[in-house]
Amino acid sequence: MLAPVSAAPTVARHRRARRGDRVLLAWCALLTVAMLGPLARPGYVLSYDMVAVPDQALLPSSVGLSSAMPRAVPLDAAVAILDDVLTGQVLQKLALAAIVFGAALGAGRALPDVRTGTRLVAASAYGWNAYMFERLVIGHWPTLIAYAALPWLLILGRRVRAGRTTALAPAVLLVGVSSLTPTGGLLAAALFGALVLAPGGRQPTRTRVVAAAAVLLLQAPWVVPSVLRPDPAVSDPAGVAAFAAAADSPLGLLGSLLTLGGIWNDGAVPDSRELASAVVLTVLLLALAAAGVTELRRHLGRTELTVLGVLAAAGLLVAASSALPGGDTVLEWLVSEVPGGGLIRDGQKFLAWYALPVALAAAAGAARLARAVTRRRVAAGIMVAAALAPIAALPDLAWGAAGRLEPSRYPAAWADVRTAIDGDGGDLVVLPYQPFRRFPWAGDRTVLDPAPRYLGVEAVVPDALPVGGDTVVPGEDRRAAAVAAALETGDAAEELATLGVGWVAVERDTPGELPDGLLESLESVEINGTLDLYRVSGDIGTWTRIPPAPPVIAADIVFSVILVVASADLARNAFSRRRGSLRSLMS
Amino acid sequence: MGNFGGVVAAIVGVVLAGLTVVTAVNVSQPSDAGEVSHEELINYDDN
Repeated sequence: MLAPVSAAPTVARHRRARRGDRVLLAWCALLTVAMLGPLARPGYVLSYDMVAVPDQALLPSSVGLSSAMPRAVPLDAAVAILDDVLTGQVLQKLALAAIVFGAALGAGRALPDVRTGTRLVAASAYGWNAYMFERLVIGHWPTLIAYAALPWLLILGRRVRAGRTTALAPAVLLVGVSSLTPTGGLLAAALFGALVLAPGGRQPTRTRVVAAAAVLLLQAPWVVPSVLRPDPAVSDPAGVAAFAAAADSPLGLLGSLLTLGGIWNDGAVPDSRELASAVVLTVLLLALAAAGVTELRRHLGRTELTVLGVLAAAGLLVAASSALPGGDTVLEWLVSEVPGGGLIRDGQKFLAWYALPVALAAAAGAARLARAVTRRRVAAGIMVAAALAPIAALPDLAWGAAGRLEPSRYPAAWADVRTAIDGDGGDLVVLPYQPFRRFPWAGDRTVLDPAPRYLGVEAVVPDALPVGGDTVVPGEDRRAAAVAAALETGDAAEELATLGVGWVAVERDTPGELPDGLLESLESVEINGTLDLYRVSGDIGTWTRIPPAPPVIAADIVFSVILVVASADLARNAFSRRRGSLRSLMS
Repeated sequence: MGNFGGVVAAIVGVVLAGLTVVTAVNVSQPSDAGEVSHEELINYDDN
C-alpha cells in the first residue's frame, strides 16, 4: 500500500522536470534563431577572423607543417575533413548554431535542483551577452566552441567527481573539440582538469590520471609544431598594447570587463554598449549576480565554487592585466620571451571563465529575489524579466548581430581560379600583400583574406597586423616577412621563386597596393578582373624551415586516437544504458 | 508586504520596460559604422 503513496510525488516531480527540460530546450532554440536567423540564407559568413570557404583542402599547413605559427591547428585539418561531408557552408552554420544553442543549454542545466525559471535566466545570461557578441563579430568562433563547452564540462566534472566514470568520455570529447585551437584548449582543459584533479571527490586515482593525461595530450597538435618550429614561438611585444582590453562602455575598463565586454577591437563592439539605458540593464544583471553568489555556494558546493571562482579571477586578471601597474611589462616579457606567451595577448578572451559563474550567479540571484516576494505572479514576473533582461540590454545581438553577420557569396571567378591552379609548382601569394580585405560582395566588412583557404593550395600569408591606423604588429612567420621584402625589390618574381612561391593571385576588388612591375614579369593564367591568377616562371625553390613532420603527425595521431576511443566509450555506455532500461521494462 | 511588493514590482517593471524601449530605439538608429574608408592598408580594427 505504501508504494503508490510515496511514488506519486516522485512521478509528479519527474513530469515537472521533463516539462521544464522542454521549456528550456525551446527557449535555447528561440535564442539561437533570434540571434542567427539571417544566417539561414545561402552563403558564407565573413567577419574579421571568421572565414568559411566551400571546400577547404587538407594541406600540410592544416596540421602545422608550415612556417606560420599554428594558430588554427588542428582546426584547419578538422574543417578540411568535415567540409567534405557537410560542405563548408553547412559546417559553418551548424557550428555557429551549436555554439549558441549549446552555450545557453549548458548554462541552463549547470545548476542542479533549480526551477525552470532559474534555468532560463542562466541560459539567457550565458548565451546572450557582450562576450558572445564581440567574439562572434570578430570571428573567434573556435574560442566560442570552448565557451559553449564550459558549462557542460562543469556538469561532467561534477559527475566524474561523484564517481560516475561514464562522464569521462563525453568530457574528453568536449575538451578535444575545444582544443582545435590553442585558446579553446586552454579554456576547456583548465576547467575540466581543475575539477577532476581537485582534492576530494569519489573518482578513483586511475580516473584522475587518465583524465589529466587525455586533457594534456589533446593539446599536442598545436603544442608540438609550436615547440619544434625552427624559428622561436615568441611574438612581438607591440601586440600587448595593440590587443589590450579597452573600455567599450561608459563604465570604464573594469566595468566593461565585469559586464563581459571590453574587446580591444572597437569595430566588434555592439552599438548598444554606449547607451545609458543598456548600461543600467547590464548593471542590474550584475547586481543580480552579486545577490546570487551566496546561493551559488548552496547549489555548487565548495570545490566547484572554488574552481569557478579561481578561474574567473584569473580570467579577469589576464583581461585587465595591461591596465594594472607593471602589467604591461610582465605581459611584454611573457609574449616576447616565453614560447607560446603570445596566447595571452588579447586577454579579454579569458573572460569566458568569468562569464559562467556570473551567469549562474545572476540566475541564482533572480531566484532569490523571486523567493522574497509573496505573490506567485510577481515572483514569476521577476523570473521572466530576468530571463529577458540580457536580450533587452543587448538588443543588437539579435538577427545576425544587427546585420553584422550575414552570408555572402563568392564571385564565380574564384571557383575558376581554384580550378586553374594545379597542386604542383610552388606555393601561392595573394595580392594586395596584407592580411585583411574589404570586398563589395561581402558588405565591405573587414575580413581576413579567404583566398588562401579557398584556393586549395599552400599559401604564404602575411601575418604582420596593422592595428589602429598607425601600428603594425610584426608577425612571427619569417617566410611571410621574406615575401614582403621580396615584393619591394626590383626583381620580385625571381625572389618569389627562390622563396618557393609559384603562384600569384590578385584580388582586384579590395583596397591595397600592388608591387610595381611584378605582374608584367609573370605568366598570365586566368585573368577575369576579379581574381586574377599568374604563374611565376623559373625554378621554384622549397621553403624548408618548418617543424619536422614525424612528431607533428604523431601528435595528430594521438589526438585522433583519444577522440576515437572516447567516442567508442560514449557509444558503448549509451548502448549499455539503453539495454539496461529495456531489461527493466521487460522484467 | 504583498501589496507593497506588487507596487514595487510594477514600478520596476515599468522602468525596465522603458529602458528596454529606449535601448531598442537607439540601436535601431543608423550609425556611421557602414562608411567605407578607402585607405590602402586595411586595419584589423577597421569597421
